Amino acid sequence: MLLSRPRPILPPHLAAALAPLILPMLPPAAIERGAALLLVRLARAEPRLIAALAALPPTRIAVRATELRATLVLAHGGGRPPTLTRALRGGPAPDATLAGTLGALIDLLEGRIDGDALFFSRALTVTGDSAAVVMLRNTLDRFEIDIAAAALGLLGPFAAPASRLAARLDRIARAGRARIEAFHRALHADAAETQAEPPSLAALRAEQRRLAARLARLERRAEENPAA
Amino acid sequence: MRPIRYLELVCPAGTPAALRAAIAAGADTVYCGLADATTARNYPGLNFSPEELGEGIAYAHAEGRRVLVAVNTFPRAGATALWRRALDTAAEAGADAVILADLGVLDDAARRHPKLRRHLSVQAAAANPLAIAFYRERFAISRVVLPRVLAVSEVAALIARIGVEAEVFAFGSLGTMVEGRCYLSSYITGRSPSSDGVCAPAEHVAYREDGGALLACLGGAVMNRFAAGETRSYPTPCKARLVTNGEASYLFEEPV
Repeated sequence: MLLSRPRPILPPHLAAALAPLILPMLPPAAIERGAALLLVRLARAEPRLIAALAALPPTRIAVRATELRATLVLAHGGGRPPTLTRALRGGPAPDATLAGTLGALIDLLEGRIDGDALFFSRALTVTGDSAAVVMLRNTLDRFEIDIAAAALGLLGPFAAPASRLAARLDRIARAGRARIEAFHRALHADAAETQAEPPSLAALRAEQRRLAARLARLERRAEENPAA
Repeated sequence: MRPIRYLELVCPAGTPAALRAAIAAGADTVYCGLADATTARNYPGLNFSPEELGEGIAYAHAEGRRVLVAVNTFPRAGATALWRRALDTAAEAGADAVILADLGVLDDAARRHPKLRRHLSVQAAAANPLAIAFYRERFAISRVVLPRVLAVSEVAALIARIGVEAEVFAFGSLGTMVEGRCYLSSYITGRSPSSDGVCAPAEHVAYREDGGALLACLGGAVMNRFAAGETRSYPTPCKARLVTNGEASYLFEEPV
């Protein structure tokens, strides 16, 4: 049952962090092959996703990651399972094109970042039939997609050690980022201390504290007098 | 069921994944709709099938939370079957309440599902004690969702007089037209937010490059022009940048 699936064990953002490092090194044919295999893995992990895509109207959406040399075309709907193939020169025109960085596209696919936010911040661009892209995005949002888990699943018996290695690399990267951020804060600590908070912001903080205290008193009163 | 604190946190969910996320984030209650014209957010690919609704409600109840089902659009004349069916689906799925706007749908719910709690949708635009009293007395609503344009002082004044629970929006758009009856949307797209459930249908939205700027269009009308580097927004009429007295501004509401 869909709602009883276990949570992913891999760190979030893993696919979005690693893909830009690995995929640009691959030739277009390899990217196409890998994408097709990934789709097979996703279909096994989440068959309802495939059924939902098949139930949409027939649509071709070109997906272009700015770091890659290949543009992929997702053909779905019309009762047929989706396919992911390389866009060929002279091939049929897609209904829409979705373009952005690999990280943004993976974040969109995994539902980690709101698609509207990505589009409005220009991390993603959409041309052509925007309704088709909205429909695709909304359909993908219905499911919890884990690209990293699906990709590691392609490694067969090496998936478990690979996922441990990837998780370790992710921890090392996070620890490194945390140290850099702490160093940055310490470097600018003096400047932060001398910078006075604008009076309007200080007033808002005071109002927020006052309302929080009032809400806490109301909640206590409600608990003590539930019938009131 | 988890006891409601002084303030009940009610969150929307457009998909089953969003329902789980809202509950994981601490929502006391989630509201959602079916994937058809009976809900006022009928965007393609969104919302719940009857099966997904049943699963979502079962999941929420297992977590001690509530689920409200919005059947809050207005049926077309002579075509009420979809709305009646939506009420039946919500009742069979175990919804904790239905959120309704249309008088006929309220009446139908009160007659055929008298034990199903009824909330008055913001789409009914009931903004004064007389209107709310009518719905309370005639259809025994338990809660009213107040229009978004009311000030906090107005909300407080209403709560003191209406005798039912009140729900207010704490986040999101203002909806500066009469709730549920945006004539701007209808005029521009030919689609009705109150019957079709979308105020800016995706199939009427287009973005065009224009000399380095981006035009956001709805139904062929330009809603906004974004300069290079400017954050863009979805082209809804109430958040359009309009020229009045020779000056372009967000006349009704700024896009979020």
